[in-house]
Amino acid sequence: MEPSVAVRFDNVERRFDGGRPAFTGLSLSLDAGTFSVLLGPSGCGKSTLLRLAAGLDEPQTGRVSLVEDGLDRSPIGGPTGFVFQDAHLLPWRTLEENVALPLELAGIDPEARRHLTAAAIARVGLASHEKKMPHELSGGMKMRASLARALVRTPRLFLLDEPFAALDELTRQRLDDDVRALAQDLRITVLFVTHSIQEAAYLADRVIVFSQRPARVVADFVSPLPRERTSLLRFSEAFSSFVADLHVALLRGES
Amino acid sequence: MSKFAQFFAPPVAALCLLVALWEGLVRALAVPAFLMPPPSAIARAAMENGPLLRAAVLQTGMTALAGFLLSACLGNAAAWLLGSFRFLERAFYPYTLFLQTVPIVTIAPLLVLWFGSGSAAVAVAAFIVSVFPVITGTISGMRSVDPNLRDLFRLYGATRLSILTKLEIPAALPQTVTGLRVASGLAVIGAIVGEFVAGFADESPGLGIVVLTAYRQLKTDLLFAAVLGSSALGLALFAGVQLAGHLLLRRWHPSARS
Repeated sequence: MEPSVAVRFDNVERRFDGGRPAFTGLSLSLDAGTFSVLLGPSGCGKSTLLRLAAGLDEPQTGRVSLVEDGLDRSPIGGPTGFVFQDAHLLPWRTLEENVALPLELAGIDPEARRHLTAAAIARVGLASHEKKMPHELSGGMKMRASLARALVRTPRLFLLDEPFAALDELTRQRLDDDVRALAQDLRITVLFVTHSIQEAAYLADRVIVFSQRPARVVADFVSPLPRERTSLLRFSEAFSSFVADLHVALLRGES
Repeated sequence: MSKFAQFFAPPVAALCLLVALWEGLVRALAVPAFLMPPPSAIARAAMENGPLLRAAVLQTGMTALAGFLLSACLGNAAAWLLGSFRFLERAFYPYTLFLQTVPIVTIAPLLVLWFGSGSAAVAVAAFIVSVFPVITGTISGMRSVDPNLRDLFRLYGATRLSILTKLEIPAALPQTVTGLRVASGLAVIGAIVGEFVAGFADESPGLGIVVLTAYRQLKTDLLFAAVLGSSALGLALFAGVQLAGHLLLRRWHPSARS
């Protein structure tokens, strides 16, 4: 298995069309192989940070880099999987063809493509649905397909932008379990954006809490919860206490 | 009542009612036949001139189809090019408006000079009239691609060609089909107007020539029959495009699934 990558934001500033900056002078370092959650109010710039880490956007000042084997590199064209707020499947392609898209664009030969695609689909539990069109899938299944597409190239950095916000609570909890398990199995670096305190507390090894724009880090928690997470953990005292800490930090960011 | 009957019964009933009303009023008011012939006279003229009308529909149909196919191929190729490069779109798109705004009768004489009188000039006239909706439909479809999908392709290092073939062209397909549907009707109009100026050299006269001749001879019943022939031709081309669009989109697009 290839080593995962660390992400570094050095003194980053990003502003849009002369408006309030999303953040100024932001520095943040995310260790390789950790599951970090960015928590903050809507519109504070969490998604912008994710886009910077993916190389889909560039800061006006400062630098964003991925660190692999001790060497810095630009995020552009990096070993990154990205899951958006919506599944964003191509409606004219079957589930299987959607998952295979990154391999197809990378020029992987059809035989290898078939194997890797089948493995990614099986990993997210959609093995019997490969030939279905996106409109035949439920919301949860679409998000699973989106996860499979992000994982099919075996990324070493996995970026998720509020991926389950539109799903019902139970489906969301199931998918949280799956993402956490996948991240542990593959030992990849995960950066997960959410505005749900419970989701952040359940998923993260580390939670970074942001203030309103211009965003600054108001708290940085290492999770007190055990590495293995099960649904029962949501009813534990440790979980409630962690949720309360995050809640207080969020309120502090708003004041 | 079957679904088929439910679908067709109302328009057929309305048509029967209108035809009966038309026949009755023309007879009751003794309207001269050269002004407004009754439907029965039009039907008789259509039967008597069957071979002439069939040949005219075929002749105009071939040139309209040629013009439409030119529009579909060149219009889409132009749209893919203009839609892929902003500077090309900015430079050339305003001039495509010329195709939309120029009255075809004013440039038909030029077409005769360049292509000679006959089918080639008529097909080019059909092309000029019908290409604009194909270009705008496809470009507008390409412009409506979800920005997140573009990001996805960028993230996976897609080439410009991959973005065009695997994202923009399929995403634009519903609007391309809409543009082609509009173009199919315009191609028939373009061919008939083209025939008014350039259609006299063809061995078999097209519908435009039949219309002009019938008008000059005050054979209004034949003129009406030729108009119905043009309408049938337009409908046939439209139905062909509709069917092709349905086959292309039925697996995934809501408009073709419902």
